[in-house]
Amino acid sequence: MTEDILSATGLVRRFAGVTAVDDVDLSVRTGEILGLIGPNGAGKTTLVNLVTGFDRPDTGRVFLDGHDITRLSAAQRSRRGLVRTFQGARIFGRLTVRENLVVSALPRLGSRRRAESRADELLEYGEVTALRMTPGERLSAGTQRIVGLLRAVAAQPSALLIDEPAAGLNEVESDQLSRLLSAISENMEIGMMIIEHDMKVIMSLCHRVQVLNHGRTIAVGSPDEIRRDPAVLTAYLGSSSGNAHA
Amino acid sequence: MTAVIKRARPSVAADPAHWSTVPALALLLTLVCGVVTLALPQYAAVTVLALVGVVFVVGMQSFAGNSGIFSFGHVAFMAIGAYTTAITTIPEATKKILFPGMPEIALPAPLALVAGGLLAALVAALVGIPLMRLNGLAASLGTFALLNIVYNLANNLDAITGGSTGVSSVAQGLSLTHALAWSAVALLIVWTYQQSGHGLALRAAREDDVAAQSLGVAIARERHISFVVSAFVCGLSGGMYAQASGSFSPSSFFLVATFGFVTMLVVGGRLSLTGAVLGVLSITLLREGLKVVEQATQYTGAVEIGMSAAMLLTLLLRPLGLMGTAELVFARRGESR
Ligand SMILES: Nc1ncnc2c1ncn2[C@@H]1O[C@H](COP(=O)(O)OP(=O)(O)OP(=O)(O)O)[C@@H](O)[C@H]1O
Ligand SMILES: [Mg+2]
Repeated sequence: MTEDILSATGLVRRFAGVTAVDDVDLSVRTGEILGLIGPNGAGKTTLVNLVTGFDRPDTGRVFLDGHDITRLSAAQRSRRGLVRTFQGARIFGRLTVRENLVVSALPRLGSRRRAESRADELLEYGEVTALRMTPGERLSAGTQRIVGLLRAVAAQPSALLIDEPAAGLNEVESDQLSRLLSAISENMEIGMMIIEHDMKVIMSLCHRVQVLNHGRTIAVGSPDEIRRDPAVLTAYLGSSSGNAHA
Repeated sequence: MTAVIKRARPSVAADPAHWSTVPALALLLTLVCGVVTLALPQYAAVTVLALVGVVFVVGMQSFAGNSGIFSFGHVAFMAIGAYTTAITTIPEATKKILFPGMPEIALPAPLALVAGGLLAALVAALVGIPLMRLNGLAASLGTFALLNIVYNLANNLDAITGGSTGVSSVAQGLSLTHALAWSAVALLIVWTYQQSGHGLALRAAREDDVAAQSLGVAIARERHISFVVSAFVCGLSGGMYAQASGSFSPSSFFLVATFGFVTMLVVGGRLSLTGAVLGVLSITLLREGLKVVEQATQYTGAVEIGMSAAMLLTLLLRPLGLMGTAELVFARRGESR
């Protein structure tokens, strides 16, 4: 139990009319990639918001490396090693690509110089060194996603939550991103959770998959188990969104 | 080597970290002073006041530019600097007769300026605690309230400030050379802050506060640091103003001054240090030109209306001002592409 780098128990979040997250548990181990899937409106983003401190649960608790972080602000959680990305990349438009990464590396590394060399390493790693002096707003959507991911990694998180990294990317960009994600998972001491509608990405990357529907967990298991789970099939076929390319 | 302006064209990566921005701006100001001294000595006093303006607007830019929050209250810090310098440098004998209630502290001129900056920074540190939790327009309005508070304190604490009639006989005077030196100091302080991790984190929060939080940026704290740094520099400018003008009253640091400085920063470009400097120079030029018009036509109001028009036109045609995000730098021929 304490091996989980990130865990949550009994999370509930009600909005007027809907219970977006309804008694959800979550656990992510170091070295693991957990996939979080579910039809549109299932509560995935809300769950990430609750875990990372961008929203407050009505009940439930969040633990990072065994410590209760439920009452910490988003920025405090981030400085402790819990970092997220966003459905839109949210790149700092008038900062250079390199500065985007330096901002992220600074709280952990303290010195500007060390943050810069960390940023340069990661730019190399993501094969975007040529863009280091380009303002973020000039990047294509696909490149913004990659930079957004590298920026999150620059914070040296112990747990990283990634919201729809491949949405809107073409095949080539999506493959590049998948390779980057699995490289990060293999080379860094990190537990990851990925929200993604593209089942190809989920099935190839994830060690475990958790399925949400109407705010509730309806299945947790290996990608193979999830593929065959009757409740999951019903949820996807029964929903009008039909977004899962399973 | 030539001084060039780096344009933020797609192919040219703007590199605001370029080391040479401060030397280039200092050189520009030195050239302006040189021309005035040699060719237009009747404008020496105006130029000294313009340099006071440079220190102030550069100080204000370090908050407004990096945080993205416009301030209508920084003139309050100028007032604090001006009164500190006045109180600590008016000669003992004069003080006894004119302002018997003033504290009997005497400081040499440069120290008086620094003391004014420090006092302004202290006030910013205190009022910043609640103020820097506010966002956007609410924060701007909060700074406006600060301006009104300091104005009314200056007006009513007669014993210390001389009340609404103000203060006179601040004897020192401010030479063009000293004003230039202080401008360079201000530029260096603000540039150093801007290039620090704190400045960078604040600019990130300006671009996207949610993303900045997700990376651990403590936004209120970073804003607060910026507020204190900028208050220090604006406090310095107040001390310079006291020395340059010799006399002033609370209304010297109220709406007209605030509007003038905000216009300078908007027109020059709030996101650029070069913009702050060019804003002061261009608006000063405009103001002096319009004064000539006022005298010729006997129509008072041309100056204020002309400046307002400059601000309006900038907001409409070039919202990020003359400079946008570009900075003046030295570059070898061709290096700027
Ligand atoms: N701030 C909010 N106020 C009210 N309702 C909200 C709010 N945020 C989310 N919801 C609702 O909560 C439910 C879950 O939304 P959420 O965005 O978490 O879904 P999701 O699984 O991320 O969907 P998608 O796949 O479309 O990104 C939806 O019904 C949504 O309308
Ligand atoms: Mg979502």
